Amino acid sequence: MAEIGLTKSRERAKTNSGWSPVRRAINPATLIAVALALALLLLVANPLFHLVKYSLTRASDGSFTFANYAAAFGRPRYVQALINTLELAAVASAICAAIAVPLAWAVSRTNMPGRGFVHAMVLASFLIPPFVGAIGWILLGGPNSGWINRVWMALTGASSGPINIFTFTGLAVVTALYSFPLIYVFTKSALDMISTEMEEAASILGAGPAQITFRITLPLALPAILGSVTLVFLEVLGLYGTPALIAIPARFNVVTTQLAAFFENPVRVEVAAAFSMPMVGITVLLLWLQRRLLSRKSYVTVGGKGGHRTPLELGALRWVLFAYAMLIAAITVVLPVVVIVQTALSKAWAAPLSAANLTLANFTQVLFDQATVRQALLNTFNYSIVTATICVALGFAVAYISARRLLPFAGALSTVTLAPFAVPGIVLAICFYAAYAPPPFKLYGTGALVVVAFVTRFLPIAFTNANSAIQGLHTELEEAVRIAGGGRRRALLQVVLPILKKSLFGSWLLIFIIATRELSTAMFLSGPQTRVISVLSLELSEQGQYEMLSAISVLLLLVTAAVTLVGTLALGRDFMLRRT
Amino acid sequence: MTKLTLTDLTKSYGSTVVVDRLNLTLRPGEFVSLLGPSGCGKTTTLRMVAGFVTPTGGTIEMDGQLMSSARMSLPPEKRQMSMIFQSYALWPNMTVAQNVAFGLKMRKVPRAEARQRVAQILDVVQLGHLAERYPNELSGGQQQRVSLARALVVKPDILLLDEPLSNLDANLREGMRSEIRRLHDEFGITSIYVTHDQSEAMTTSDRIAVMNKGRIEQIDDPQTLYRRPRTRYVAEFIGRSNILDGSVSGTGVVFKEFEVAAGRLDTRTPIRTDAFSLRTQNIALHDTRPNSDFIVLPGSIAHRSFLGESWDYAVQSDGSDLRLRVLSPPRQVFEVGQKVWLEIDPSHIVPIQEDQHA
Repeated sequence: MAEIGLTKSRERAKTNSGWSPVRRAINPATLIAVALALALLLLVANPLFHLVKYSLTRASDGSFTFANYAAAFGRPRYVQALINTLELAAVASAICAAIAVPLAWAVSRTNMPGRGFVHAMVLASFLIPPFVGAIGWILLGGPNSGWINRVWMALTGASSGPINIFTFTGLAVVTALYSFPLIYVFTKSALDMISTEMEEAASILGAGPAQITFRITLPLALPAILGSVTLVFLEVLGLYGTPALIAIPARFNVVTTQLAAFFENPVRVEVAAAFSMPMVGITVLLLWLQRRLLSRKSYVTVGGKGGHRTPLELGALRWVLFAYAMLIAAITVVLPVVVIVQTALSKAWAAPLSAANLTLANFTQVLFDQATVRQALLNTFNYSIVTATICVALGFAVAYISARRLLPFAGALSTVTLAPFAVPGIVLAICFYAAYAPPPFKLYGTGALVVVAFVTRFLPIAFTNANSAIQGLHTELEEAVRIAGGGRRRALLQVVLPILKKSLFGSWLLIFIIATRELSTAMFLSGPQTRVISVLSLELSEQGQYEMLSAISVLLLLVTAAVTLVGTLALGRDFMLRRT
Repeated sequence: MTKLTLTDLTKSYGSTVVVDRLNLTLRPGEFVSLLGPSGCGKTTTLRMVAGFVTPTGGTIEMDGQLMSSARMSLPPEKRQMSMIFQSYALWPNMTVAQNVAFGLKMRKVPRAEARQRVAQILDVVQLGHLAERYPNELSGGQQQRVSLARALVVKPDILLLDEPLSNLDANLREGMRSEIRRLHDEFGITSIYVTHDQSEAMTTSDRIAVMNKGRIEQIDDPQTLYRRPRTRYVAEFIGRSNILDGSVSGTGVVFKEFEVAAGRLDTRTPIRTDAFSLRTQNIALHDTRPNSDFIVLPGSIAHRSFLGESWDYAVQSDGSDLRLRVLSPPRQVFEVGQKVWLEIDPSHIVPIQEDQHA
């Protein structure tokens, strides 16, 4: 009996393997695998490889050399730029934490008045592109003509104002004002997750409100705080717009502005590649450290009985916190936006407020008269739509395949997809320039190059979002389709995608918004015909065209607000900030 | 002598009354369970005792001192109590030893003494070797023991336990409930234990308060509660009961099939009800008519299920629509439809009140 059973199963195995090798090779799963691998190779692996290769290549004859590193780090000025960047990242991250953690705590755990409003204001500052905020602060805090200084001088009769934005401190503060929302979001969701029983357990054992906050609540949120501070640190390392607007006039360099200088005539891509290596190194190191430090203590807290969360009664302190929150709202959102709108509607921004100075000419200029500006606007929205679409599709494909282990090496696919996260945008731009500007690709100056670089830059976001959505989806839903006779494709199209469409749409909107403002990746890759708004804004700022620049900023803010509104209506409040 | 007194304790949210003029007194060292289904107000009562919830009426007094009233509520950290939470609520950022030491630190116990007491209590719960572990590195049962150690090490005036075993699997639960009782016998701390599981309440408690709709239906020691349920609600919630309709006539009680002299029932007070409880295992089944002074009725098996430790029979009486549930030993097998004789000791028939506020 046993023998018969054995031969039978052997026979069946034979019929299975009886497929011709060719037919097996072109089954759909293999095709998808090859296509994905190829896409990731072109998007991620090849550009990163070229960065390293360029840094070790002599420009004149293509031979191997370390000379680029000597050139990049041989001058004190260049090394100083690196030090400046690290200092800036450290100071700005510290300011960010000082702003974000108290606000997150106040909104999540206390009875501070106006919590909803404060939350909305943080969201608003998240939506202001950093370079727009920087422009607002140039108009507010420029040494003589800035509005704050002019009002100060008018009120006190002093001969100079109190603020000079064109300093290291100015740069650090303005950078922090548009980076802190990330820490806020992570900290707040960590605080929201902490089970009330964790605090009650301390309370019944004799801990008062302050002791609970400092010994239990904040330590429990500490991993989220440290993690998001690290992210902000890394973001600031690669930030180009704000330093370009503030540090260059202030006559000091950071890595990103120095990299841009290497791209000015004569273009020295090899030196730029070498100079960007420490940034990649620091990023990889920090991400690795972060993982290691957080590995032992698991901070997944068992949910207690929900519902009866009582906010901490702060007494008079709540008004102090409220005042602090309002101050932050004023300097991140209200003042910059007001001054930008005012400038956009002025003939000359430095002229006194008067009806004679009012005009709509800046908007007609931007929208109709100036071909370059109109072209840049069109390019921006064009590239952003294409980028968001490709990112979401690709991110979903990789996430689904690796979550369901549909292919061998599925884990490797997701690792490669996440790799661009460790590369600052401006370095990514150098990678793509090195990989695709020279022959055989010769893509420089085409929109495709910008889009491909954008896709690579935002793919980790799309992947992460899709992945967490898929993780929240029980496999049994698909298994139920299969056992009922439907195939994998049917399960995907009729169950998985309909359920996930909201979170995928949210991910699309988020990527669209950040793509419209992306500067550092676009900088070295957009040619005369493929300029985007952010690149154009820098040029206008150099020319001192603040009125037109403000009009563009207002348009960008309006589009961002409209997209956010659509998202909020369709997906609910905070659809962009959700971290699951 | 009393340790804790709840007087007319009331909590309402808007028009919803969650706890309704509840009265309860605990002697020092007593272990009392609040037992009831979810939504009966037991957790809210416990949280009022802890100070997490302020009552809307009534008072809580400990050692004669006012803890809570509608006007004031001493904050939890000033009450010198301890609590075991359903989720254990161990702080994941602290080691086992740090978790246990927390309450001592709050009470400003000198370091050396604190270290010694932590070591001592960890030995009591048999976790001494795991002191430097983090909670997520422990099993559910070990976490539960850490949370017990953390609560006991401060020698609280009162220990509150909020469904502490509901996150454990069945085997572990049995071990832990005797562990809880053992620790209570060792330390003698006045305890309130909230649960919806009657066997947990039975094994751990000196007295059980059965709660329904924000009130205590009956509070008694486990045996009395089982033998003499006072209301239909308690009879049905604790164990399994047949509820019989009967009416008092003269010196006897008339049921559907039989009549019993009032003196033979289990009661000392005049009967003022027409509902009676009869435990399912207090009925005997025979295949021939038994020769007995007790009530004997003919019937047939209508339905049966085998529960392993016993048979659960539904017996239809021949003369009327009276149907009784009977619990029999596993070796006493009757087929469905088989003729049987029911034998009932009248002293097991307990008069019960209709629900106090149905």
